[in-house]
Amino acid sequence: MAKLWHRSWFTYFVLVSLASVLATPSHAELKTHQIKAAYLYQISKFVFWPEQSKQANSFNVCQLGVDRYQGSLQKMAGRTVFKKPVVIKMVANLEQAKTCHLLILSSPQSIDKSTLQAWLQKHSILTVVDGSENWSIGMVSFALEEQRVRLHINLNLAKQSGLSFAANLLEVASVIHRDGP
Amino acid sequence: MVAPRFHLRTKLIGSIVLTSVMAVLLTSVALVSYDRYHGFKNVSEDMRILADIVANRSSAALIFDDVRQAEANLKALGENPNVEMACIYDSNQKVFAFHYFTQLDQKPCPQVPKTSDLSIGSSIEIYTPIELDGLSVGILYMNLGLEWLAERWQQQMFYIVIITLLAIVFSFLLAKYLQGILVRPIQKIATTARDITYQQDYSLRAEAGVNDELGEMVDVFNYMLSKIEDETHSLYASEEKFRQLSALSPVGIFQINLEHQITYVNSRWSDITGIHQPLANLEHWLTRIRVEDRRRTLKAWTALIQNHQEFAIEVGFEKDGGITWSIIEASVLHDSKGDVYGYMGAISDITDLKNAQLKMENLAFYDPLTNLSNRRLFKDRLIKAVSESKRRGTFAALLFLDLDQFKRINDSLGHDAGDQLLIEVARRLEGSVRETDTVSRIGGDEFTVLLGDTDSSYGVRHIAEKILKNLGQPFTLKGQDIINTVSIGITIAPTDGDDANTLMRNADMAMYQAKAMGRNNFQFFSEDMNKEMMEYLCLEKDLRRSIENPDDFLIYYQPKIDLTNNKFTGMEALIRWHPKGKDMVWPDRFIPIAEESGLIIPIGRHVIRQACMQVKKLIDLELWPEGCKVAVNLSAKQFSDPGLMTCLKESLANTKCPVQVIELEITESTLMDDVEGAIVTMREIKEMGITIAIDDFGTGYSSLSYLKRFPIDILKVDRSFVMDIPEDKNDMAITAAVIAMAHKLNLKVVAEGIETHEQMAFLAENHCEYGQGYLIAKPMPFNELEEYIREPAQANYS
Repeated sequence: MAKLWHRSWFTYFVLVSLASVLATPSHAELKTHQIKAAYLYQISKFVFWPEQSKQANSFNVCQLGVDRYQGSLQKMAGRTVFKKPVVIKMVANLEQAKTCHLLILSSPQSIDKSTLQAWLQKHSILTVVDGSENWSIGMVSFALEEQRVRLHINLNLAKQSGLSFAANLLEVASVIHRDGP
Repeated sequence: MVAPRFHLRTKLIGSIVLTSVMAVLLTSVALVSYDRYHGFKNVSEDMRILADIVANRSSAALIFDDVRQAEANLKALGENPNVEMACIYDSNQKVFAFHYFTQLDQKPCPQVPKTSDLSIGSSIEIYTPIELDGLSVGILYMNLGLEWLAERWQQQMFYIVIITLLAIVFSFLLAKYLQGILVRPIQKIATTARDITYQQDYSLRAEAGVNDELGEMVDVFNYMLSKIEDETHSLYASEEKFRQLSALSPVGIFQINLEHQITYVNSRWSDITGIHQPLANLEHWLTRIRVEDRRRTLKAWTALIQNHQEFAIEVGFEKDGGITWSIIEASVLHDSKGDVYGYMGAISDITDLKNAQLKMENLAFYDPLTNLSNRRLFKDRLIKAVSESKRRGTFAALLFLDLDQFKRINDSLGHDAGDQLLIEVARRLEGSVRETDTVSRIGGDEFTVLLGDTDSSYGVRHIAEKILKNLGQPFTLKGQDIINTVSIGITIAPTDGDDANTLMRNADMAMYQAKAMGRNNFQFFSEDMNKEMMEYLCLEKDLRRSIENPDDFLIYYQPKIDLTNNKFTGMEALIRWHPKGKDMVWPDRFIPIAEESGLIIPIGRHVIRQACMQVKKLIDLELWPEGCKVAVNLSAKQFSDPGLMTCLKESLANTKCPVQVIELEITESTLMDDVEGAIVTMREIKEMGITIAIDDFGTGYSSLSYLKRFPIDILKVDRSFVMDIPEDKNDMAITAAVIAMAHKLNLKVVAEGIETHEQMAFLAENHCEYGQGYLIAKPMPFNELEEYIREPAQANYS
């Protein structure tokens, strides 16, 4: 009897608990970067892209700075945005990011705001940044509130770049910046 | 249970109201159904659109895990008050967010959401996919309660009820007004019809008033009334005609319905049948019918009912103790469709007819006066009796009876006395024979008696004697006792003849024999009679022949003398007959035959002619003494011959013989046969100037009263009285008396048959004027007479 208990029942119990832990993705359990990555993909759906942007052969998702997503961006790789395949790129500078649609500013401190704004006025690129304090450079800022990943939206910045957001995205944004910095 | 009556008005109003209500209800139901259907549809569509919008809007909240936002979005659905709950499911079909819009009855979100669906059950459930860029990221579920529907429905029902009530009211009012327009003409018709029925006045009419189909109906109705009025009049006239006819009819009329009850009879019917109850039925009728006729009546009646066979039958009704004879005729009555609805018939009273028929049948076989069977019936029975006797080997006897004095009694006492006599004779005859024997009256005074099944002639003889005895008793007629005897001829079958005619003929012959034998006796037929008959017939034949050859007849004359002077005073002409090739036949032989056959007329005529001629001759020879006469015998037949006077006149004229020389001798019995007629004839003869002598006086039945009345001149005493002189004192006395009486009547007397002197002396003594006889002279032929007259008193006295 002790043997059996040792063998099957216990094994099963461990497996099941493990599975349940692993299977249920709560926000707390899931890694933040995974969530953000998923959000990024979804956000791109709520953006009104200009026609020009839609002409590109692919939807380019670029990360400028340190790679904070640990490969979870790759999950987006097979999917499409406005029917164009998503391509993940690492860029070193803004110049390289000219063809990006979505630009992840992983190192926000190294970015000059005015330069970025000026550049953004020439190119319609959605900038995404971590941290609510970086709202001035990120059209979409991820903020962690109450253990949840929330969105802060900089409408003005987006407008300067010729981008606008769907109303329902704005609804879920916890903060919306309308005026410029 | 009688069905309740509804007025037309009510029906009309009811139908209009009902129609309106039905219209309203149907419309309402249609609208409500339509509304419900479309309501569903619209609401569903609206909800779907709403769901789409909310789903679309909720995509961000779902993706970005903003439950609050999602809930806020769902709240927006609350715009629609019917939404009870909404749920948002994530891509793993787990409930992400939900919101209840009702406080009560909060059901949980369905466990497993459908992908996309809209279903309507107790609530509307909508599943809409939340899509982002073509991909399903979740499902929005909406649940709408249907209370709104129920509420809506209730509201509608409420309005429907209101409107229906209004419809009822308005349509009722309208109908009330309208029905008047429609119903009035019909009411008028109904009123008119009712009035006509109660007042029996077919001249009333309904007003039309409207110019539509109803008006037309009224017009048709009125037209129909006119027709009915006409038909009623003609029906009445027809019935009146029938009534009159029926009342006048000499025939009983009856009508019977299918239940065999008598529905009509006229008064004549009651008279004939004797039934006066008006409602008698067929069975009752039958009881009045004679028992013998009932079966036949029933049979005919059954044939009428079952086969519709008309009949006419003769039936007797028992009424007042007598029988009313009738003929009943019946036939079947058909209505206009040809179906039988009764029977009709007539009864005619044929009692008188029937009685006449019965009487005729009676007359055919019975003598009305005596009620005996008549000749026809008698003959029939005779034939039967003859064949019976042949068959059974027994004898039957036939008696022929003739009343001897019938004619005389009829003449002297009248015909009713004669009838009385016949009736009494019939009664006595019936009383003389057995019941099985037949008494018949076959002629005026001729009777027959048929004795069937006799065993011997002795029995027959006994009966014949009995008859003679019974009929010999006096008859009291008109207060007088009269004797009437009878002569009977008897034949026995099958001895004297094996067929009826032979028997009758032989009996007749026997009867004549009985008469010849002096009457009041009976004679059995014998062969000799037959023989005699043959001879008789033979003689008759010869006589006829001789009439063609009158030379066969000779006249002999027997002179008469005056007894006072023995002078020739006249002669009697006597006929002699010598047929050619045969012996001479004596007058007493052939005279009866001549008399019977009527041949005496031509013979007598011949005698008269000859006598006249021969006397004339003597007159011409001046041999005929003055005042002498030749006497010619007249037989009964001659005397009653209507041509007698003519014959006499002719003979005298042709021979130119003077009339006063002729004398006619007529026998007493001839005169007594028909006294009145005799007197008339005698007067006629006398008027001519011919003298008359009554011959064979004393042998007839004359009475002095008649003798007084006869216009006669001579009385001839019969020889039977003379020949007994002087032996029979009675005869002598009678003769003397007769002579005296004759003288008293101014008659001369001639005595016949003088054969002895004593007789002549006696007669002369008694003042008899004339005499005739063998003593004086025998009858002689004419040539000898001449001589005799020439030499008078050459008498054979010696």
